[in-house]
Amino acid sequence: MIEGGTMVRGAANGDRAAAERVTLAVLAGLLLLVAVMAIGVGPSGLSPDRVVALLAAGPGTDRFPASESIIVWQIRLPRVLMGAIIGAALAVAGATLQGLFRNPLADPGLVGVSPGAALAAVAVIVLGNGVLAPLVQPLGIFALPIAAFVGALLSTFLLYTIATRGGRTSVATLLLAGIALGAFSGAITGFFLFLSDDNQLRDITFWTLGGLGGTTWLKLFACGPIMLAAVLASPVLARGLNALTLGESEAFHLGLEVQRMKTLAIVLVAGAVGASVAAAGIIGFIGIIVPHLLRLAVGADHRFLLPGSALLGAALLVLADALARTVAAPAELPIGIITAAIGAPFFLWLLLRRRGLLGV
Amino acid sequence: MLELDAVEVLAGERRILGPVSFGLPAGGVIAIVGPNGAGKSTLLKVLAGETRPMEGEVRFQGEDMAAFSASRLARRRAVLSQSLEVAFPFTVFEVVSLGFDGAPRALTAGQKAARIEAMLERVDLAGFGSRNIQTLSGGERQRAHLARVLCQIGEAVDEEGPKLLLLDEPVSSLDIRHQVDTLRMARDFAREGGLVVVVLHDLNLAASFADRMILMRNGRIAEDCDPVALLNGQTVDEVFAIAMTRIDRGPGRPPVVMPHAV
Repeated sequence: MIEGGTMVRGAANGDRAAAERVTLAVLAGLLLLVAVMAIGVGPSGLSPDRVVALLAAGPGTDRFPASESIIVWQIRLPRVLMGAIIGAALAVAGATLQGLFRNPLADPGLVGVSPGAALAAVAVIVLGNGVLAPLVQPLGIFALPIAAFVGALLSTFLLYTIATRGGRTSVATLLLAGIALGAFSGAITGFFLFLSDDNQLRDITFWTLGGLGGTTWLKLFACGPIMLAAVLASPVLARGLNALTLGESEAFHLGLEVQRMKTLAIVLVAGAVGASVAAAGIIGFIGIIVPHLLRLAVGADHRFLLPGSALLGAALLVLADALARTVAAPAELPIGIITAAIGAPFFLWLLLRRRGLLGV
Repeated sequence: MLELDAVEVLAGERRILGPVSFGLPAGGVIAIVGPNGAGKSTLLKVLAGETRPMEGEVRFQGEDMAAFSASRLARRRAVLSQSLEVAFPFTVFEVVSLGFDGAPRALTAGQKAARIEAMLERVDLAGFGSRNIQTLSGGERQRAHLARVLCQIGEAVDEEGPKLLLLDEPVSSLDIRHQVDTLRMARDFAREGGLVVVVLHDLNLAASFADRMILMRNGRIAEDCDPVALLNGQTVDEVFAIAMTRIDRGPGRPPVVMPHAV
């Protein structure tokens, strides 16, 4: 679909709106296809038309074997929906941060959102039966996601407070403080790793590489709405992020209330990333690669880039999860390995092709 | 149309502007000149509503400038700043169309596209619409941003009154012909009833196009008069700390000045 985008790129006058609309439609179709395919794959494989029929019949139908209905409705559908929502949230968070920092390399990991979430989660894993037991035990299986979410919000709030003076947020300070806070969180996380036993280490490793295993409707209803709200609200930022491309002063000259827009963007990113880390651990690469691909292939206008990132990010993560479930079956690979393994080479190929180094 | 009353701007303890007082009526081109660090860009930021003065007041069309919202201001004034960087690979068309984005106007997509193309032709960038702006030369980029600013400001006067165009060294990257073209456009805007304030380094270029020149030194106004008087006076030599040679071009026209030592 990326190639399709290139072919229809821009009318002769440089207005790429038509190409962008076509790309969005293609991406939406792609997401649907990938989702149906992903619901079908697994230990008991189902054909795409069977999946569609089972979905159309609704949960608890007696027109199909109960086992098939349960697999689709109770196991795979919530997992695929969670994957789609997380993929969309991470890609939108990446595109938003890149716009905010005016830097195509910005990533949720950089502003301390992910490291903060990771630190809180690792603390729960290692200290959950020790000093943190009174806090962790009553929360049961929700202790880890809640800790990750709170960690993300706290670190974002801290950074925002550091970088804001007299009602103005310095994006440069935010970035630098994020790197410092990330390193500090990393150091403490490392210390917890040093303290942990083998079982805890395995938990931590799986969690830091991310995974959608164990997704239930309950977990989806707990984490999904925050991410969905962030994704659906993101188009509000599009004009502002476009104007910010020229610089903060220039965005103000163009009529933008810059500070209000920055605050909204940061809250949106913290919510999206915090909830995603809470739901599935740290899944790298989606936030940086998806907006890049769309900019390279179609265009950088955020009115296109934000919804486009949501659709492509969702499709990519659902696909990655389907692969994670199948390539080493019956074992399951961490999804972060898959996203990096399929994303990075494709990305490099695109970069090389664009620079003409491959002669194509 | 624009009045400054004892305006001061401080950076920490240091006063970088002021106290400055003057009034600018609509319908003129005002050139701000002065040595590096004299406060020209700071003054322009104050006029743009971007920097709030710590002391004094700026009145824009009779109202306190601080009372204007960003979007209301964007409909009344446009700014061409010195920054030409665009962070992402936007097409020239998309960058120019940002001029319409901040302060939404009731125009259809087709009308906007037609205006953008007309504006690109006006800044001598016809056919550049589909180019990635990051691949343009500095001068081409500066003209693309000028087209954006002109799209934002639209007509020089509307039912709410005259508009304000602020240009911070708009010709710094341009060849001599495009320098003249750009300042002609600024002068046309003023002739149609708008107000143009332009920061320039080239004294002769400034004198050729400005109706009035403000010479700045150390954050204060050293001289505020018409170009002929300014370039004939000795304050220029004192402020720039260099002796000037003057080549007379006849009565009523400003002389050409150049450093005596050259």
